[in-house]
Amino acid sequence: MKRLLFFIFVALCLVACNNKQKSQSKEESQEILSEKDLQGKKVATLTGSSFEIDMAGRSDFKIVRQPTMSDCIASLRQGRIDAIVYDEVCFTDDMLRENGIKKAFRTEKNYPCAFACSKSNLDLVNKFNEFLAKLKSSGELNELTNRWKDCADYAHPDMPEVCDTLSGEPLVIGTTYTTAPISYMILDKWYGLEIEILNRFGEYIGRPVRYHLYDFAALIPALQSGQIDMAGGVLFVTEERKQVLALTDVYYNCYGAFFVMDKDAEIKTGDPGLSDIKGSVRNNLVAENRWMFLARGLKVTLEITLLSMLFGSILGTGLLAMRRSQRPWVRKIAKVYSSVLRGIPMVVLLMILFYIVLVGFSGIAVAVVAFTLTFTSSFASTMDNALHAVGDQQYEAGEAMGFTRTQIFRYITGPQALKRALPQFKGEAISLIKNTSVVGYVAIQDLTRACDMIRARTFEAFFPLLFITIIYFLLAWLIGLFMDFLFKIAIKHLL
Amino acid sequence: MISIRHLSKTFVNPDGSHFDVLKDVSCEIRKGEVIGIIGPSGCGKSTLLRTLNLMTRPTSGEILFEGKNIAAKGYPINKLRQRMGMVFQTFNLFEHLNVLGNLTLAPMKLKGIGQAEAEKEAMQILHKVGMDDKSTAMPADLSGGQKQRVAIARCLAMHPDIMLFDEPLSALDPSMTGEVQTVIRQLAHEGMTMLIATHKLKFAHDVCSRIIFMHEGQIHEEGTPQQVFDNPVRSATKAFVQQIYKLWFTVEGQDFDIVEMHSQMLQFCNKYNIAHIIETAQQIINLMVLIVLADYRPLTVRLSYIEQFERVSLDFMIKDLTTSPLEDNEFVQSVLDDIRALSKEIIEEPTKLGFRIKIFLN
Repeated sequence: MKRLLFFIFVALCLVACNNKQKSQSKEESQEILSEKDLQGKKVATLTGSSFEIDMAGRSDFKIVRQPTMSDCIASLRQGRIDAIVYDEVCFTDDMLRENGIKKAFRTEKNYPCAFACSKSNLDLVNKFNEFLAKLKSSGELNELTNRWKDCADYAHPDMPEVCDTLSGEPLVIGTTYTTAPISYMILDKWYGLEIEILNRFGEYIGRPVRYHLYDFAALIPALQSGQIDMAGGVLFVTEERKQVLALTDVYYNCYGAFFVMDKDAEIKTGDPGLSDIKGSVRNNLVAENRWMFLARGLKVTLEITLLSMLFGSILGTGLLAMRRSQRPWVRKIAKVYSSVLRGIPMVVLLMILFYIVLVGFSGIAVAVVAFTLTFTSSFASTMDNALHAVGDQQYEAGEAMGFTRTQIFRYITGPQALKRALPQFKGEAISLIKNTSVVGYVAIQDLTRACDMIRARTFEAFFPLLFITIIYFLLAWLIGLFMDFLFKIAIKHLL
Repeated sequence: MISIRHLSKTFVNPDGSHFDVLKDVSCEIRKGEVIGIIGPSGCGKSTLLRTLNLMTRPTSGEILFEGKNIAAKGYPINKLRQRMGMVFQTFNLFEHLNVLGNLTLAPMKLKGIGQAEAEKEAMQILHKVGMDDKSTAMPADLSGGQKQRVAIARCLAMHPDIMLFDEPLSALDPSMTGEVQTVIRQLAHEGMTMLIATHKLKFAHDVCSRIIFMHEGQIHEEGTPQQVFDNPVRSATKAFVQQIYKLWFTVEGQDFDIVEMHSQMLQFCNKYNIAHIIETAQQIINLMVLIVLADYRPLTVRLSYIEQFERVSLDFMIKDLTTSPLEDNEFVQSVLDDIRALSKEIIEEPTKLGFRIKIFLN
């Protein structure tokens, strides 16, 4: 209970800090009106986005990479950067006003966007081009583009329902969760210009369309490993991409724009009051049923954690037996396994499994395998250390009485080691649950990714993060209690 | 019961060098015998004991138990170990179980005896070793002597045919050895076959029916306690069994730190469990050093303890003196009378180096 109170206190402090930051943001500096004014400034954009790749080589200003648009806006408001460059349609007027920013000017050039397929799939590219040509000539593409570009506020135009009765093999699209109105997600439904085009294309070729969410950097490996048929998400047509991928015709010309702080805008200052928090709760959780993101993310996170713990404990017992084997080469194998796994960062292990080893398996299955592998290793080494701490004398006593090796472990050293290892296991379980926050890399929508999605829609940095902080904290706390309970039972039955 | 034939054990150190712990050891253990294995540290007595239940595997040789070689491949060693109890220097009680649990684990898991029956029997055995009121205590809450009694009871719960004791008293505080010795004596009395590796010669002398003296990995001498302790044949045996512990001081000048000397003596006496003589010894030393021999410097004082005979003596030695320094006047004689009252015997004798006054305290 004390811990809980302390945590609430910390959370309130964070709220206070956040509001303070909001009020500090006004700063006198030269107005940015054209690209010349950007000399020596810092400009933020999304990591891995087409804008980042296009502008990384610019010498007049420095590109700062941010993971989400809400991070960009938060940085801009805190004065850490001077401008944001991104698709000009990504903010509606309401969003600009609410965040106290404005569009300064368009980029000088425009960026043609296309979908990508792997080079071995030219058939699909040709079919798409054929379909796009028809869409263009009938004027539908224009109508559709304008409809999505003009949508104001958070509202989005109705999208023609996808025909569910298509019987063909699913057309798997990998896309990045960019921003409205190009492609975005509300709960598990996709919306946006790109999505409508692709849905119509699916209907055209008689294949149902499935979408998978990827990090930008992961799209191309996913294409090459055959996990997806087509990649989207505002892919700019560049020479390098043409060389490694088969690109479709251009379906949309994207203009970038630089966004800066709007000095004339009224920025919310002073006491935020309860209404502000209420508004944030409504905006981040209630609107569009966004809390469902968190609920589903939580389910995924729990699934991965609990399954990995279960399988990891079972396999870990096996690995422990190997580590304690009387045959040196078996011990060696176990040792190599542990040291290899210790040396691979979790994200890298996930990606290797997802893109190379377990191609074709679902992201959650891959995550469970990856975390099982690491938990196996940590389970075995924790128990091994605990057995060392129990000491050889206990083993000898059992041996001299005529117990077999297995019996000694089962009745004498095992229970004692388990007791000693309990605090460390609790730590391992809690760090496992925290480590699962990286599974977003392999197209899984876990709790952290759910938070990212809410932030990408509301552009708020603070409240979604606070919510998942609280959820993770409670999870860690509950899993600690759960482990205590589990061990109580285990020890009771082992003795 | 057990025949040991040409048993050898060689340990190979990590650096490749060899160490022969046991060299061609042969002996017979008959039912009902209580055999004490004595010898200096590193002589192989623990190793000999541990090869008997294959806790240490011999390099070569045979151990015949009921006519079968237990060191042979495929011998059901766990079945044998269930019939051989082993008591360790460090007790090795199962720390996660209480006293009763320590006693019932093996009968329940290895013999398949039901819990109620196992506990009933365990209580009887605990009663025998005087631990029945501690049946629910955890090992960590027991004293050393209590732990060792529980460890013995734990072996008894399996009704062993033979019991091996590996230094059962060495880790105990001197005040605790008595209770454990009593339990072992009781077992000997009941006819239990036992092998006891120990440093406590008096204990071995009193309890054992046969003594094996080991020296450099071999059985150097063996026989009844009377033969080995009182009339040892070989010189190494003699040197070992008549262990004499000595403490030396040299008194020089007037500012000799007598307090420091007494504190060292106290430590010495505690170490060898002869604290009861300390007061007498200190009185005698004070009388001799400060009064009788006040004019004789340098003066060497030696406290000797012969463990085998539990004999304590004080020697006062004055270098290059050929006649007795004890003057024949009334004052000195009256002090000497006091000393005689405190001690058993005073011997005055010239030695090669000078003159010695030996006072036996008991």
